Amino acid sequence: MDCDSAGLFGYTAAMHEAMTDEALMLAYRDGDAVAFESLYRRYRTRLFRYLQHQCGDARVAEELYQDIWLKVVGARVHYEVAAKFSTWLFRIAHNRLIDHYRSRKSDVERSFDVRAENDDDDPPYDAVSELPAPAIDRPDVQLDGRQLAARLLREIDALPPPQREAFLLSEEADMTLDDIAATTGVNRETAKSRLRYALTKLRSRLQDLK
Amino acid sequence: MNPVKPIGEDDMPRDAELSRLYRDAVAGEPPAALDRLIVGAAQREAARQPRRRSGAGWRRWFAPVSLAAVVVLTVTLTLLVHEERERDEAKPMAAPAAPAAPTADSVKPEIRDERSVAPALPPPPAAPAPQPERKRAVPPAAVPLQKASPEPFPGGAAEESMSQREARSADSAAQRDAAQPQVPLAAPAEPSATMRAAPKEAKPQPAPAPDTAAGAGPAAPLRESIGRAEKSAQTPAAWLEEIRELKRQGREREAQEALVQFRRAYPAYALPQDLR
Repeated sequence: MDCDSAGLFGYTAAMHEAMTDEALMLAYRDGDAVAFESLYRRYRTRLFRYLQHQCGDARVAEELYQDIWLKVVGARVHYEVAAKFSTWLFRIAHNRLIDHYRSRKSDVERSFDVRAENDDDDPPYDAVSELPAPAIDRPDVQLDGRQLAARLLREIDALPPPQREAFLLSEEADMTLDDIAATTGVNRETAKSRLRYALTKLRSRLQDLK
Repeated sequence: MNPVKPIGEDDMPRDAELSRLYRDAVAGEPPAALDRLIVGAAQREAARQPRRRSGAGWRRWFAPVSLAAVVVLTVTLTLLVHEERERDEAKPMAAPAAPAAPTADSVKPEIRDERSVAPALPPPPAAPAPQPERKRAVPPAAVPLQKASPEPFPGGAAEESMSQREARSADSAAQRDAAQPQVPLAAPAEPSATMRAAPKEAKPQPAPAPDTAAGAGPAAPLRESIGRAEKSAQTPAAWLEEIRELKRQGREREAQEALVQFRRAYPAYALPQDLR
């Protein structure tokens, strides 16, 4: 009996692994709790790291993380596939973060305003800074891995929140520009600009380490 | 470090080196307690709300079922329209024949009265030319047509009643035609008397059986004269009905010939729409 149950569970789990995010969420909506577990496993780390970097506080990140997943659970009954599940999930996370910034009366919320973003003191796009650095000058060659990783994470945290968000969505959620734009509620060009600035800044700041 | 280059078709700015560094550097996982809490809440929620398998099933089958319904509806409508069209095409051929029989049988006394009273009935030809007359008697269409009629061609008294009925039905058809504006009513009515007299002339002569008449030499002129008499007894409407019958039987050539004869005999008669 146990063997049968285990076999059935294994079969169900394998079936769930082959399903898309949206199909899993639909299955969960229809009462399949195991489908939710599969979905949760896929996104738990990605979402947590996104929140961790975005709010810079592990405790707050955990709180937000729990809120977001409970929102997903609560929205299950009315769930329809209107977008990619990842876009939907990170859109909830984005909105929850904005609420968080707002509750703290932080200036960070304002930085997500596209009009305010025009006043950002980002340097104009510099093509020269995008020239490839000689391999010998590359910071990853000169620094050991751990130092470089610590520096990279600090530089990521130092990015303006919209640019950091674009970078994190690209890296953690493996999103395209369209997905990032849909998640953050901006147009594609703005999303592209944010990501480009994020990458340029990270690269230039890490070059200083040589 | 690599420059920020658009990679791929979507001109997505990427830096492969930075990505690799980030993946090596990044750490952090949600605590296991948080995992349990969230998954537990999800399971409770799933248990609380009933499964919506039926809804999901319906949603899954909605598109194919809709498609199938549309296809079935389209095919059904197409068939219906096709049938309707066929019926419409058949109607003008069959329509005039249908009312003729009941009118002839059921309104017999009235027609008799009208015949004696109304001189303005559509006239049969005053004196049909002998040439077309003979030709008209010749077409083999006449024999099957009479065969197809409800009563066979018996001869004697039966023959008389049939020719009278034909004449009556022709008259009633002519009356119907008279109601239509395109049918000319100008032709004189007196020939009808001679026309009606014609079957009576033919009546005393014995009517040979159709199959025996084919080979019998002396019987042929007799049959021809009977046929001529029959034809001459016809009103234009009855004649046209015969032509319609020929067409209905698919004997187009004979119908065409009969129509030519008709036009020769009644040049002023406005042909019905279906025979033009």
